[in-house]
Amino acid sequence: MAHLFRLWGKKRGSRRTGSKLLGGVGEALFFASLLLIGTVSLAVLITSQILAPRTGGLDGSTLSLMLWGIFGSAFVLIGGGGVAYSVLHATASAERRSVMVKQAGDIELLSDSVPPHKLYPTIPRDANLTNSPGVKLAFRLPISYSPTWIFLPIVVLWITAIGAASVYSVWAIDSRRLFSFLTLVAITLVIAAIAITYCFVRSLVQQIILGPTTLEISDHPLYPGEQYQVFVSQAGHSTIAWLQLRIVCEEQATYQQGTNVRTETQTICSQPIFRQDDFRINPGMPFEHQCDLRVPAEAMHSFKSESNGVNWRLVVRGSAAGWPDFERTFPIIVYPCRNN
Amino acid sequence: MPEQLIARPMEPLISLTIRNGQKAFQPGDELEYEFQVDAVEAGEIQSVETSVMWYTEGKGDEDIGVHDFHRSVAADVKDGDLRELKRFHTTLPNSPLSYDGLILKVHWCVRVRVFLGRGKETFFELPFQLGDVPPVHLEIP
Repeated sequence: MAHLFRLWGKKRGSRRTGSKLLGGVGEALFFASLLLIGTVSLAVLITSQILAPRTGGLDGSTLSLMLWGIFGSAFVLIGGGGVAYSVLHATASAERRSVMVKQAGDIELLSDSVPPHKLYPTIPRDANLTNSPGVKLAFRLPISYSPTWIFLPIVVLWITAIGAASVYSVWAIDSRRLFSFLTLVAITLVIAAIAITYCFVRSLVQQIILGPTTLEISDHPLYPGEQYQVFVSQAGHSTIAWLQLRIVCEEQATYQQGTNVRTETQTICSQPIFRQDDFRINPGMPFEHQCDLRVPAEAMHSFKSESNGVNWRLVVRGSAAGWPDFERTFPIIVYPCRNN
Repeated sequence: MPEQLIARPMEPLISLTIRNGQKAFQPGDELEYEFQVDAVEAGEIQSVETSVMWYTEGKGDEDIGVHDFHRSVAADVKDGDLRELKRFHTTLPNSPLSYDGLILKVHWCVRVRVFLGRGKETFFELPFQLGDVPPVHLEIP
């Protein structure tokens, strides 16, 4: 009996102790009870309105009825969806569910604005990478990542925290409780905020002084073993110690660890395309360089599924005198080898 | 001589064969396979599903993608006997190719899943290679 009704289960890797069937039944019962509560509350609401209809404007009672209706509808939607999910999960195999999801994705209204590739399944489309023509070469690639803006939400968060702590501190000082715990917290927050704001401003100034990096490519998508032209332009007003362009491929894996969702990346290929040392960029005279790019012949193509991926990108890294190293990345799509 | 594997994880016995006689394919190749279920009463089988599919293995959660799928229930076949030999064929897609990476692997297989009474089910799968992407070895300069 104790074996059947265990209070706690254990998780060993992807396996769990306990009955899968009982778990499924419990889940279905939970959602069914939500559906029942929602249906009954909506039925009561509608019946009460039919039997004693209200007239007049919006008053407190009307607002209560609206809230009742919203919560009832939410219970029906969540409960109904949950029951349908539980039944589907219990009665259909993983393969059949995958086919159902695929068929639902084929319905135009339910699909993304950029639908998945039919000719090359699991390879992301390159529509967003080829919609900007280049000046020297066919396409100007969009930049994907600027570390500066990571600081912005942190700065906003810290300033909000400081505001709250400062208000309390002023009140504490007023009340002659100068060295309260929250006053010390507020001082710590101010010190941390100064440091973060310094990093943000420094990074922002670096971006302005370095200027924009543009990358153009002769063709897209790319194929393993084939040769292309890339054109790099680095504007700004600074002395550059070194600037390099690399083609990088990373595996990406997303997994659940307890209640957290983690993403891990592993670089599997990082090949240099060009490197230039010790040169100066003046305003209105950007550094420009055009060179060959060859995708490794036996490379894996770009791949994207729900929890896994293979991502290709061109990475411009550099070091300007007096500033930390900078990095700008430009995603690209690699297709399977043409002779496949 | 086509390769034939027989699995007996539990009753029933599933016999699955890739008729092309090869384990490596290129995108656009025709994959022909057949299967037969045995050692079980006809009335015990409720449905049979066959899939040509890929699945991921590695650090991330498993993803699957089904390229070709067939489901048969007793009402679909003559005499309601799902044990009879069945043959299917499909043209293999351009992607994803089989891949043996560091934290991600992509495998292709033909999978037969048999559903029995009282919620029991069993499956057997036959792996094959799509494309010729070599395994990854970490060599970053």
